[in-house]
Amino acid sequence: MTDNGWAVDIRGLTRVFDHFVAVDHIDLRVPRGIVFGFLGPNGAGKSTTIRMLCGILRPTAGAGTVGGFDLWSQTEELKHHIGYMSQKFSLYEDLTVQENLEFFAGVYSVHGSQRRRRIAWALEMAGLVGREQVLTRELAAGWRQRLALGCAILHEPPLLFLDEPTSGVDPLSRRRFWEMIAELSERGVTVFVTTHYMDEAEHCDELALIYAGRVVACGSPAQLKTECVRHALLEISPSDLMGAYGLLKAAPGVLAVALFGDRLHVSVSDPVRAAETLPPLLAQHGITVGSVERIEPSLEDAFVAIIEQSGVQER
Amino acid sequence: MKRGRYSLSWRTIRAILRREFTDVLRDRRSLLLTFLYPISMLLLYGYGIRYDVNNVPLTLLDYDRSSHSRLLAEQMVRSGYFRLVRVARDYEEVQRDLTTDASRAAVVIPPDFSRRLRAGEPVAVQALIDGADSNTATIAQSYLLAMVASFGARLEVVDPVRAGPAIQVASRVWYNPELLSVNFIVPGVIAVIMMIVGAILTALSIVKEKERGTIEQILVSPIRPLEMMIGKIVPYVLIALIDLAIVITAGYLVFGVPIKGSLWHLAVFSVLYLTASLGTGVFVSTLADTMQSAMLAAIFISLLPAVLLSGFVFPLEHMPVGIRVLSYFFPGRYFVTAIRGIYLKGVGLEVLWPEALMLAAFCVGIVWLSASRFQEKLG
Repeated sequence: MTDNGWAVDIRGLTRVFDHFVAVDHIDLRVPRGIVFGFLGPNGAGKSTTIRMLCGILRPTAGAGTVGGFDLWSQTEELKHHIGYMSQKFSLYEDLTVQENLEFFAGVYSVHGSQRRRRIAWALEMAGLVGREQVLTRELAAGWRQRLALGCAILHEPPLLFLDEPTSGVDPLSRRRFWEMIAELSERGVTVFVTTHYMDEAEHCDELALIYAGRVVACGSPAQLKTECVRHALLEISPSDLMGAYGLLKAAPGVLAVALFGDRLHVSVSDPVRAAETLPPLLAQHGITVGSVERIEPSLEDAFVAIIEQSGVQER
Repeated sequence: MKRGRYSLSWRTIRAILRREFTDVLRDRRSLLLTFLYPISMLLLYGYGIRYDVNNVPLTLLDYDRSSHSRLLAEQMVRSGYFRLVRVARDYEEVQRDLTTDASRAAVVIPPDFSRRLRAGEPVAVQALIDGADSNTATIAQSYLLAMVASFGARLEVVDPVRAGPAIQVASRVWYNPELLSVNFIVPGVIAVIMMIVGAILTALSIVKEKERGTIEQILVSPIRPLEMMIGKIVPYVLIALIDLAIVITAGYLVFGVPIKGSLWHLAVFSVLYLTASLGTGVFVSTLADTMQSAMLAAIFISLLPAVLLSGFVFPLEHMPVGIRVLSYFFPGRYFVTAIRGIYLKGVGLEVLWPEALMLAAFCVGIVWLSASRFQEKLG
């Protein structure tokens, strides 16, 4: 083990599945102790990357260390030092809460007084006290996810990988889950979490955006918002969304247009001028505009801008 | 916490074992099935598949009409093996009965039957047996042979359908003098049960982890493939051994089939065969990703050969060369041959060592193959 100060330090990580490049030469550096968000749309290569970092999947190419252990030669040692929660629920549904915890305590050789203490801690943390004897299959999705997290941290790993931990979970449970992540982070655990929820990304200390197998941006949420969106943003709500989208894309002074629900986010170089000229332009084509507002860019705007600037093609 | 490639953690294995047993014991229905299955198989095969023949419809043509010929006819009917459907007046009636399936066998007693018997001259009784169902034909023939021989007469067999040469008397009569097929079935049921538990249940239990996704959490944990394999196999070794005891006991109590040979030799073969079936199970688990496909693969690779290519139901001698050659590649034939030898003839390893060697060779091969594939998939 080499302590280079990085929880994850990899270069050129690549995975090819039958000529399909799922992960394409990505470099990642994650400092210890932070909550690191790994963002990207479905199929961008998030899970493939996380599986390689956990030693489940052999990379096609690349080098580096995870938790200070070599990606190629020290995967066995690595397994003792990481916790992992997969995208798909992967605890034993026909075991009770307690039995699942006991099983993973046994698997990670957590024994003696430690075993009791850590199981109690995991139960407490996951809010599952009093449900020890409930069959896992009977738990609601939110509870299951918390139990899965509890099982993943029984051996107190300094590095935790969470692959879409909150997918399919109700908003309240999602918030509760992120409180657990924050608590773990305060204890010094490095949390590497993938998500495609932008609101969740705001909770992260640092972010990396993966798109079509490549990392297209890195930085804190604030950095990404200010650095990547260099132009002013106007929010327009037109009567004909798609019609306006087409017209605005071709309009002079407009750099980019993105759909946000029933509104359009339009990047412009001169917001004052654009606010005056764009509504009449749309009106010529019979499209009325409800409101035009200058807005602060959100993370989502940042990512739209980043992806457009990166020139990486969607696949 | 550096460990060698093959060093094992007892704690890890214990955790896996505890989980497996919880899993097996919690599912009451399948647990019950695991133990009821051998008994129901035994009853099903024991009563369902019978090589012995009862109430074969018989036509008699008695040209002699003497007390001797009547005695022979009476004996045939009283044996219970035959049911007299007609005493024919002429040969034409005999032929009609056989072609219309009114009877499956006919006996023609010649006019000089009693005279020749009294004179101590050789005499032949003609038997016509419908060879369409070769099993029944063979057995009916041997019954008739035995009964006619007790009169000191010779039996001349004619197959009215195929009109081929007389059918050979099955040698199994030597070792199963009452021609009770249950004696024959019990060893076969052992072979099939052990294959089901060893191969199918083991494969399903491993593939279940893939299908449910629990394998993800196992892969990322420090569990070694070998630890996983031991944890998966041990419960089914125990179940298979309990099932073995059930079949042996039920075979003895319900069907009165004793083991003539040594229990120890039986144990040696059972352990070898069990190893072979567990290896097959692990091998199947490396082929399939869903329980359904695992089930199909296991049936093809383990169960069907155990039933069809072992000599359990269909005698291997009667099979085409190609299929007979194929049977040498599956453990069933060695095990069934060996266990029948131990059960019925009372022979042991001194005679059955070639079977033991072949089984051992199969074990080494399949364990090596499955372990390396398992390691590769899990490591």
